[in-house]
Amino acid sequence: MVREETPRRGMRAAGVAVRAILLAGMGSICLAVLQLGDFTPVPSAWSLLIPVLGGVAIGPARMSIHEVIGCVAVVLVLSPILAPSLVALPASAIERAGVVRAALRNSLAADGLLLLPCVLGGIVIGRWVAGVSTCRSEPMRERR
Amino acid sequence: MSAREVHGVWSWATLVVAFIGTLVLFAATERRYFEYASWTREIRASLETASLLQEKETTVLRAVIVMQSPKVGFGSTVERVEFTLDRDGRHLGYFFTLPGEMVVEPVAGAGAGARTRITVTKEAPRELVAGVLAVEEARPAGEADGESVGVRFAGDVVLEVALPRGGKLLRVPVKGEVKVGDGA
Repeated sequence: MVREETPRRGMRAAGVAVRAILLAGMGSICLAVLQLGDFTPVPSAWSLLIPVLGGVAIGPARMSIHEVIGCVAVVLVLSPILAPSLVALPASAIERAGVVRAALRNSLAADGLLLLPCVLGGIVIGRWVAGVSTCRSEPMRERR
Repeated sequence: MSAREVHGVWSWATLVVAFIGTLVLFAATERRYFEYASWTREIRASLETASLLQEKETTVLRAVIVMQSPKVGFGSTVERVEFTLDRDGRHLGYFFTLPGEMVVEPVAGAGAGARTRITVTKEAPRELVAGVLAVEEARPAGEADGESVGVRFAGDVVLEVALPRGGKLLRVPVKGEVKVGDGA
C-alpha cells in the first residue's frame, strides 16, 4: 500500500512543482513586459492576461487548497526576483546595476498590486468554469 | 474519461498555451528593446564649432553640432539642446534652445550612418557676456581674437525617439570648447 502511494505522491508533487515554475516564469515575463511597455507589439496592459490565464490553468487542476496557495506563493516570490534580469538583459554593463535596481522596485510594486489579483482572479474563473462544466456533464447524478 | 481527468487535461493545455503565448510576446518585446539599446549605444553627437560672436549691440552664441546615428533604427526628432557653459570650474549659465533658435538639417552623403547638423543660434544674456569679457580682459595682451578662452560647452541633445507604443526622450551628450570672436 505504502509502495503504491509513494510514487503517486511524488508524481503529484512534481506536477505541482512544474506548474509553480511555469507560472513563476510567466509572472516574471508579465512584470518585465509591463516595464518595457514602449516596445511591446500590443498594449502592455494586455500582458496582464498572462497571469489571468495562468490562474485559469490552476483553477480546474486536481490540487488541494494548500498546493494552490503554495503555487501562488512561489509565483509571488520568484517573479519579482526574475523580472529585473529580463529587463536588464540588453542594457550595457555600465547601466545594468541601475536598470536592475529600478526594475526590482517596479516589480515589487506590481507584484502585489497587479500580479496577485490577476492570478487569484484567474483561479476563481478557472474553478467556476470547471464547476459549470461538471454540472453540465453530470446533471442527473448531481440532482440525485 | 471522468470529468476530473478532463479538467486535468484542460488545465495542462491552458498552462502550455499560455506559456507559449508568453514566450512569443516576450521574444517580440525583447527583440525591439535589444535594437533600441544597441541603437542608443551607437548614436553620437559632437560639437563641430561653438563661438560667442559680437554682432552690433548683441552677443550671440552660435554652435554647430553634428549627430551621427545608425542608418537603420528608430525615427527621431531633435527636441532641444540643453547645455551649460563653464570656465575653470566657474559656472557661467545653463541654457536650452527655444523654438526658432535651432535649425536641424540632414547632411547628404554621410556614408554608413545618418548624419544630422544642428545649428544653434542663441542670444547670450548680459551676465554671460560680462563673465566672458571679464575673462578676456584678464588674458595677457597680444593674444588673437577667436582663440579659446577656456569656456567649456557641456550638454545634451534631447531627442524624441518614436517607439512602437509612444515616444521616449533620449539624451545624447555633447561637449567642447567655445571660441570668442567678432562676428560683425
